[in-house]
This record gives sequence, C-alpha cells and structure tokens, in this order.
Amino acid sequence: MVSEVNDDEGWDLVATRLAHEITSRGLTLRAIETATGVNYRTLQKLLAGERVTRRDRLAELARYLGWQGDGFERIRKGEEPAAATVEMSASGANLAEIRERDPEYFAQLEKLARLAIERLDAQER
Amino acid sequence: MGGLWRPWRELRQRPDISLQLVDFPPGPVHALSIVRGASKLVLLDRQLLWAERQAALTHELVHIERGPIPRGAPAWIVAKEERQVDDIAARRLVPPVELRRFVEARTSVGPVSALDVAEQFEVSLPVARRACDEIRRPG
Repeated sequence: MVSEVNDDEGWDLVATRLAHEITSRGLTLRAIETATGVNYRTLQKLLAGERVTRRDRLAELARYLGWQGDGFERIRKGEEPAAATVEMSASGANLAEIRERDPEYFAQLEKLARLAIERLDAQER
Repeated sequence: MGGLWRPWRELRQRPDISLQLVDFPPGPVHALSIVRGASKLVLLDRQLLWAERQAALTHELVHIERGPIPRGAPAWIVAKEERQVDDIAARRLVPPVELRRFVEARTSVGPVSALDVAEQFEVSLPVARRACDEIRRPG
C-alpha cells in the first residue's frame, strides 16, 4: 500500500511519466479515452501537470498502462508504479496474435478480465 | 466410464480457482484464465453449450496448471503452448486407452467418426477430433 501524499504534490511527475508512456508506446489521447473511459480533457489536465481528483479514473488509466491501480500515486511519490501481474490465456485463440491484429478487441478482453478480478476482490473483501 | 477426468469435479477440488460465467464480447475468444498472484480465475462465456464449456474449462485448468503464458510472449510461442494445452485437454477428456478400446469395439460395426467419439465421451467435436488425431499419430 502506498502511503499518503499531499494532494497538490507530484502532478508534474505524473505529467512527465504519462507523456513518456504515450510517446514510447505510440498512444493517442483518443485511443486512451476509448479504452479507459478517462476523458480527453482529463488526460490533457494530467499532461499539463494539473491535479485530478477522480481516483477511480487514475486507477483505470494506471491499469490500462499495465500497472496496478495505485500506479499514479506511486509516481507522485517519486516511486516506480508496480506492474499488474495479471496473466491471461484464452481457449481456442492466440492472444498474442489478437493483441497485434485487433487491439480494440484485445482491450475488450482485458477489460472483461479486469472487471472479473474486481468482482473477485469485492467477494474476498 | 465413471472414472474419467471431469473438469467440474476438478474445479470442486481446487478452491483456489474461481469460476465466473460472463458475457464475452463478440469474437473468437469464449474463455479466459487469469492469474494474478495467488488468485486464479476462469471466465467462461455463458453462451457456450455444455460440451463447449467442458472443453473450455478443461483447457483453462490445464493452462493454470502449466502456468500462464507471459504477457508479451511472441505469437509462435503462444501458438505452441495452445497446441500443447489442447492436446493435454483432449487426452484428459478422451483418454487414448479408452478411445482405442472404443474404436476396437466399434470397428466391426463400421468406421468410427469424430462424431461417434464426441457422443460416446460426451465431449465437443473439436475435442473428439483432436483425440482421434492423437491416437493416429505414430509412436
């Protein structure tokens, strides 16, 4: 668990890291918006180093980038986000091929998996 | 045939594995196994027919046993692993010894088709075909 960080601190670190991830992965803000539901304006705010209060949106974005939900809180503290350790296998299909050929469908499957894990977490709680 | 391996029985003996029936998006994937740390989860498309569910669950249980394919693995490695998992799943649901016995017993009546095997072993047609391929392989 990440310890608390002052709400106004660390957003410049978030901006730098998010810009780096977008560039290095060849992402667009529209693609992120479509996949995560985090709206374009919020993404622009993050890239400008502005504070975003919706933690659920930040968690969604972190998971999209392959991190655990608290990834941006860690970044704000100057720490490295922890990689989400979810691995998926599919019956009757090659997920690596699907990821390359049809990223939109792959994103839908990842979302399905994420929701299932959240349901499981809720049950365990 | 009461001693055959059955995925639902196996699942009952594995409290560490959770199962969820969900609606999958339209596309070729109808089952997923997910491993996150100690949590293991199988998702099955609720639209699957009974025999398809059984095949998919078996496939995913074998995946979990063998360990997940690392994210980012190239497609050819994933394809190889998927073939191996399919072979293991087919052998579990249709053991080669039982299948040979069935084929020998039925040969006097006529040629045995994959459909006959699917009916006899209560498995999906793709599983039956793979099991038949398995006993045709030399060695």
